[in-house]
Amino acid sequence: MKQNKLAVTLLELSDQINVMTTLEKTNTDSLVIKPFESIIISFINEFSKAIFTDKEFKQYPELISLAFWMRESSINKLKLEFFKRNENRLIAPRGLALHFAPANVDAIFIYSLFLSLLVGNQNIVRVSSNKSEQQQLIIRVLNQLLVKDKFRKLQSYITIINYAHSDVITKSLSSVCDVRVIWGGDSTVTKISAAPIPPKTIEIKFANKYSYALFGASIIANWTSDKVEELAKNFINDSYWFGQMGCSSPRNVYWYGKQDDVEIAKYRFWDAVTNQLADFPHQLSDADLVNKYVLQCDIAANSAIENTITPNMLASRIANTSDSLLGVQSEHCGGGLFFEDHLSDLGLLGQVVDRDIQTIVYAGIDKEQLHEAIQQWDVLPDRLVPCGEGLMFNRIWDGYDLLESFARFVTIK
Amino acid sequence: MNTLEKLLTEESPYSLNKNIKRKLLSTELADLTTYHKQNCKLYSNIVDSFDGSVLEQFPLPVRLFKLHRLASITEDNIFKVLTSSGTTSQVVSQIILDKETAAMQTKVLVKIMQSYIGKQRLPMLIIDHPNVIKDRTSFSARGAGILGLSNFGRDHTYALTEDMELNLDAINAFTEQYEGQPILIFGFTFMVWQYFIQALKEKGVKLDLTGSVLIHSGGWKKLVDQAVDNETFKSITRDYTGITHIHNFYGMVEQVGSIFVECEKGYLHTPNFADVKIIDPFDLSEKSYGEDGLIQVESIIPKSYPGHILLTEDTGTIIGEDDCECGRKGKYFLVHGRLAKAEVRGCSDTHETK
Repeated sequence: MKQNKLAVTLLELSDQINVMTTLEKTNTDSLVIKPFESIIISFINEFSKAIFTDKEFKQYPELISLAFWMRESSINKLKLEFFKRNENRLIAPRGLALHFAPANVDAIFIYSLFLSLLVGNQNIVRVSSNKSEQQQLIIRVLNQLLVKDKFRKLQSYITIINYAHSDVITKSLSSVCDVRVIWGGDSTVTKISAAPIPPKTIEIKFANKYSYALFGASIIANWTSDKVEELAKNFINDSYWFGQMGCSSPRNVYWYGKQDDVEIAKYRFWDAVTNQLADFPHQLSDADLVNKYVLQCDIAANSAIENTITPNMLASRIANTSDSLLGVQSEHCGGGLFFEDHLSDLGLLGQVVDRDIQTIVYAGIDKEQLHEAIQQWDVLPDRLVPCGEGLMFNRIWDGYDLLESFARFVTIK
Repeated sequence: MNTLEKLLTEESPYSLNKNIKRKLLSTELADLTTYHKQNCKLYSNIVDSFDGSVLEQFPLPVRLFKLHRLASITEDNIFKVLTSSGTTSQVVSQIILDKETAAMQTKVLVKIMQSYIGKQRLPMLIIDHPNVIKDRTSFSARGAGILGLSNFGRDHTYALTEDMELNLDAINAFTEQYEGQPILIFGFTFMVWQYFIQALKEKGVKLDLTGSVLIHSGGWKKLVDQAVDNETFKSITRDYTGITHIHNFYGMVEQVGSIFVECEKGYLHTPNFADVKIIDPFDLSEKSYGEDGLIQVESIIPKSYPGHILLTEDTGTIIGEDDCECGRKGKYFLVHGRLAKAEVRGCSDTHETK
């Protein structure tokens, strides 16, 4: 039944959308698969292996960490934990999941797709029409696997499409889905949400989010150079992929500790960051650098701040010199521009944490101390992770447990 | 007599050799920086926000005039406010002029343009439609440019109709009346190419405007898209009009008085009052002649607002200084176009618009 719904929809829209994955006619009405069925795990595992062995993927660390996440051992762990959490329930797929992938972070749609696939859903993923290298590579590998005999059955479970912006197509697809996932900013979410979904369909929306870095200055000031170098490397990884425009890319850096320690820690840290950036494939263009400079001047005109241009313009810093703590700066162009402020007390950070804050990457502060401090905050962010793990995907994202959201739980008593 | 007035008495606007010019301009520009810091709060906030002496001469990004109203004069001394809008953005630049700066701008413009078109006011053919200057409340950059240049001509005649068709009747009447005399032709580069030269070509009409001067400006982007470079532009224009004196110029409303006109050898020239530098966006350092980079423009005219040192978003290359074959002193350079836009990145933007 479900298979037919997918096949019919795709057929109806066949002249308006571009189906990028293999879908042979004979496979449009294959059998239902069960959550975590071995065919899915083995498919994901082979996908992971393909990424590891294909040289072309090497230049995209986000795809390599995707491959790590998809190894058989880690998927099996996901499976065990999932069944353990839901021991006394019967688990069923929701049906047809429709995913809208973000335009510029390609790895995300695979996480979204595979988590949904793992619980047995059929999937349609609308990817961006500005075809990136990464997107092409991913789709090529998917197709190489889908035509193998042992995976043919999955063809109707993985459909990647694109189409030029069209409310009509978005509406038809939305009208038949059981889960709708929208990755993107506020305006994308608002736009796509306008297309009605059936009453029983659930929706997962990822709107604009921003992230911070929080550093304990007293500890970092006394670290060995090696440790400071390591921190700089982690920070660069968290910040510079996606041109610092990812939801989890830190934009503000908060230094906690005594003023003297903060000065020392800042100096050591930024020195290390600047040095390492020279060799980092940051992909910043001249326009990115100019945009940062414009913003630095723009903000300086009316605010109490101090601007720093590091010897190269790859890292630009805006230090708050006013008395009130700096919060999210909506005017932000990415490209390695950091707002810095000083915290005398960890509890104070709560003043600038609201539902817009996704990730706080931290270093030089222990977890227990952080745990205690956030008790004083009125609103909590979605995640607090050690610096260097900012881009590490987790099934719990922006506060949603994705795996659970993609499944239905049936009780039998 | 101050430096600027003294420079205006020079026979040619391209007379200073590099040593004298460097000395004169650096003193004047440093004085202007001090002056604007004292008189424009926003400017001093910006300059002071950058720690240490990263930059010897601090360039304001041109785009800043779209974001802030920067003035070094009080409201009651404002004589006029120039505005410009880029073609793509609705936000306009605001350039605040008092009487003195406006007067200097005019004097400098006259000095420069006269060296190409002579002191006589020539009959003027404008490659645009007459309505472009009519609505003075919503003055377009195109309208402002036409009005500015109109001072150098008389009997202003518009070559196009409102629907951008060639107005052959008007053109023929005009050329008959001034047959055998030099005329001044002005228009925006793309307009001249698309609606004048291409239209003549389509209609198979050739004009005889031998001895006339064509001045044009406004960016090459649309022409580059059609694979038309300056050489092609000049040779085809010559074929259809007989004009051999063709001068492109580079300038922006944000820096009044900085008009860089193309010489007979095809290079843009810095006049005595202004200078250009090529800047490396990577660290804002100055690049050598022959290297590509961002164009920084410097002028000693802007006194009513802090526009004396500006970092543009145009790229270019300085070819040399004082030794152009055309004989003019000063730096000579090429403009390559606008800096490529930054790529859109990040999690947002699922439905990219076309």
